[in-house]
Amino acid sequence: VTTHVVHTMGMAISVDLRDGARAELEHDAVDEVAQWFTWVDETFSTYRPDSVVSRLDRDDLALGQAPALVQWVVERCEALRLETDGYFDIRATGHLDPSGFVKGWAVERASDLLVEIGMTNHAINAGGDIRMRGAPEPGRLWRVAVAHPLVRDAVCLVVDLPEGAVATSGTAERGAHVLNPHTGGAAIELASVTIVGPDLTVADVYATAALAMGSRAPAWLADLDGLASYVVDAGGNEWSSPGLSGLRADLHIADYQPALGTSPARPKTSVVG
Amino acid sequence: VNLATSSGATTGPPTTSAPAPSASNSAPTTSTTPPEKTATGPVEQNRYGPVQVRVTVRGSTLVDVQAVQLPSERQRSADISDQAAPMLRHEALTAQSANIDLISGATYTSESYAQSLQAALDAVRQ
Repeated sequence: VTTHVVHTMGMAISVDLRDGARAELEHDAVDEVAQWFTWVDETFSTYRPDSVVSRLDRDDLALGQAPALVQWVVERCEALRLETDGYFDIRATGHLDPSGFVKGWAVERASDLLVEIGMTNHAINAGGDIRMRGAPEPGRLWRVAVAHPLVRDAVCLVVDLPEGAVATSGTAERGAHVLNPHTGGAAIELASVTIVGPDLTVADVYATAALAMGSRAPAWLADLDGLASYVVDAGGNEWSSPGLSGLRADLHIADYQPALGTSPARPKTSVVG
Repeated sequence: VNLATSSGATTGPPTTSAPAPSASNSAPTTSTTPPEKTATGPVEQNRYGPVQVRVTVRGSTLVDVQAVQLPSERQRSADISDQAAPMLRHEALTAQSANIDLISGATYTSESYAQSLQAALDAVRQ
């Protein structure tokens, strides 16, 4: 069990390798993953004026002249915009910004790379968006906790999962950073949306879209096939899709965080020694 | 969400002093395997400043986490640090006791902490 941390794309990405491979093999694998992320950042970053995406945005470069993979990403984002009723829109800000797609997709591809190298049991966690393959150890599922978006030191959900992905979009990490493309305003009705599914690209994009939808998100999420979802609104109310209950870990969260299980400030007779 | 105000808990300043006087925090080079090992992670920068932690493990079990360094330059950072140190410690030990492998949707400070913690754990394992 070794966790490597790759600093790239403005964040720290944890690469958790569970195959017990030799250290050199693990380092080679992590290097390959790091190189992939570096290419993705150089190509898609909106912070780099020389990236392909920045040049496309300035009309310095026509989409037809861009690398094939970039063209594919833009097309895929358009398909996802339609799938999400327009709530996932890489042009919501008026500029071309596929970051909401690229992060999850880059992790998804990195996970594929690790499998190709033979690292079949691993997890990659990029700022709370996670792709898991295989198992953490024989006979055990991956146990993933979701940080409570409103309570600083608490976990609000714990799930046990086989291979798959967990994506959380919320206001806790970066403030109200997701726009509702239909109104142009910041999405503030929901504190966080978590989606569990087979593929991190879709899970991440749908979580971002659902956050932008606000109060109509549960109705949309409930109809999605093959994905389980969990929502905390700005008032702390929770909603989960029917598929989520079977994934919940068999533990009482409150046992592990006394702060959540106790009702606030109930007066108690204290025993003073 | 204001990181500095979201907990109701009132907590003291980070306890960076006096490692628990356990029997075995010693002997970096040994002939016998010590039951507990301590390692200090690298300094990680987040938007509020540097974060560095020291972890103690017994076998593969995390037994303690201490903040060695937390942001303190500005008042806002100090407010966060006062609460962050005990909370981060609590989070790490909680995750360990519940066998949690991964955290989704972690907040900024936790993330920075996690980097440092993981690096420290790697150092312990080597």
